[in-house]
Amino acid sequence: MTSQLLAAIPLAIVASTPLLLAVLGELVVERAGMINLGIEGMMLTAAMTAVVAAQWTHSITIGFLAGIAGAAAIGALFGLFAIRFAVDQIVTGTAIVLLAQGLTGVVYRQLQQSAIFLQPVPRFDTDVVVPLAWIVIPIVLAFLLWRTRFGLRLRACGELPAAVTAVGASVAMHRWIALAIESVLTGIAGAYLALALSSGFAENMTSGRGFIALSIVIFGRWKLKGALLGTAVFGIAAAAQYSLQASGRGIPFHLLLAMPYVVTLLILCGIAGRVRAPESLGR
Amino acid sequence: MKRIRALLTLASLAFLLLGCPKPESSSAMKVGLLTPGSVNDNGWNAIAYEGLQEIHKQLHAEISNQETKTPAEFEEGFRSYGEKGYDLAFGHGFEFQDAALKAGKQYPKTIFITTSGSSVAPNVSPMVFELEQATYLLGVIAGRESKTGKAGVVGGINLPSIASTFLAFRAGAQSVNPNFEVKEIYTGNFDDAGAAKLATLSLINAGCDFIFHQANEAGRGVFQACQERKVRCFGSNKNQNDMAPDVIVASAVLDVPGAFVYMAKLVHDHKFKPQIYWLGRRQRVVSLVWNDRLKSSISPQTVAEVEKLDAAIQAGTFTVPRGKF
Repeated sequence: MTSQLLAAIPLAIVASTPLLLAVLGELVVERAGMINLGIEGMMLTAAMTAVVAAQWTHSITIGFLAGIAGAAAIGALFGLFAIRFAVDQIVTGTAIVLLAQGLTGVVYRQLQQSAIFLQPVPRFDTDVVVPLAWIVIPIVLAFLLWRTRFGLRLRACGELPAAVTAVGASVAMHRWIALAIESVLTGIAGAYLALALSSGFAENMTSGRGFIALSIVIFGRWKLKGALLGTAVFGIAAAAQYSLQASGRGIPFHLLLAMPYVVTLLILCGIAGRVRAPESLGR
Repeated sequence: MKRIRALLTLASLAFLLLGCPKPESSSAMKVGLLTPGSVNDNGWNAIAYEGLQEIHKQLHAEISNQETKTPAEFEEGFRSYGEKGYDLAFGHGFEFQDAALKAGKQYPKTIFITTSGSSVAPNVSPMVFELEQATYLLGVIAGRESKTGKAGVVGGINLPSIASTFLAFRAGAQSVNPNFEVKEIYTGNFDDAGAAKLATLSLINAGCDFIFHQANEAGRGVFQACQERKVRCFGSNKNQNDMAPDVIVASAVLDVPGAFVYMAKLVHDHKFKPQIYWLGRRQRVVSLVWNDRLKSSISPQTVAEVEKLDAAIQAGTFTVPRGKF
């Protein structure tokens, strides 16, 4: 049993890669002072555009690029309303999730009988996404956000936007860049979900990952360490509960399904530290 | 502006008139269908609508369908068909039983059929699908061909109909190997292919070398895991063999439109009798479809055994166990 639980760890790391990418993307955006609920819709759209492109071109790489493009399109829509028109971000984000679910649902149902969705997607052989997501991107982000002038300004957009304006920099531009970074990360997340974790698109296949990502950012206290730890704990707990289900010990599976949420909550709440959101988050 | 609006109105009227099907002769059979959701859902309601279209094609019946959401609407829908003298009205779900019984009393000339359920009256009957007949056979294949003596099943939500197909799968496997172990995982939804993949990998890690799923769309994750680990698996409900032709050995297939046509033919030929209609192998509503590319990887003895059992099920000499509903 213990060996099986240990074997669940690598599975967990792979399976929670899309979640981690979403968490990292949302962290950047929230540090820049925006709450993007639309992340769920960005990921879902990316999953669909990735599958369509990969089937057309038989190329995994182009699939991932199309995923990024899909997420960017939805992200741009969010930016247009949230940054350009300064509409309420929660409302915009919610609308964008519904829009993406509706759009992808309609396209999928219309084309469900076509080869794009019926045939298996191209094989995903060398997995560079996992080390990229768990090692490279966190290091790059840590450097970018906390070791560069650009990062300082980006974080200032989340704390005191007036200060950014005062030094003659543009808050809007920094927020657009944050959104672009998030688009790239969630685009990869959606593509990975559809091409590596699944053999194609399924309706509403992100099934709440975007919202879980949002809460991990909050419980991880808007820190990279918290983001990595929260995602890992959530992922490992999820994989462990499947191992427990498979062991057939008679524990009601409903309880086991709730386990990842409970464990993550307990661990992240248990870590001492001041909870403080970016001062201008959502404004 | 006014003129444009008038033109638009005219155009839409013309469209409506031209779009209407030509009235059938009054001798044609009339068949109505109530669905609990949109018939464009590409799932539960769409297959019923497809069945209705087939009835129109094969029996030249006059057809009509309504989307009904509440018990009051169920009754209203059934009554409207009774009032218009329909020969047959389907309610697509067990939730239509009460409405069918009430309308049945009021309109004795119309026959009311519910999809699944257990309520029977002189002109009311349920049709119940026996997918278990095929999943039992999948269990036999796993029981004979597994090297580890373990198979895994992945379910979306623990619904009675899903648990029943798993029960039959386990019974099939244990009928040929009493010590055979079937491990069960539920992922809690039918969308999350990533979760289904994780569940499948957990089963494979636990030693399962055959995987069966009832996760609908999320089954894509099951197939992805099986392809990665080169573990054989089975498709369900639809013929899914092409979704992962390297690993799916066979699919347990349910032909819902076929079931609708079957019931309509009974009514058409005046052969309807009030009873629970079990629709399965004998009525060709349920079938086991082999993936020809992989059939050769199964030993000829197993194939022969499965085909013999299949024939016995079809002849009615062998009854497959079912779960409680």
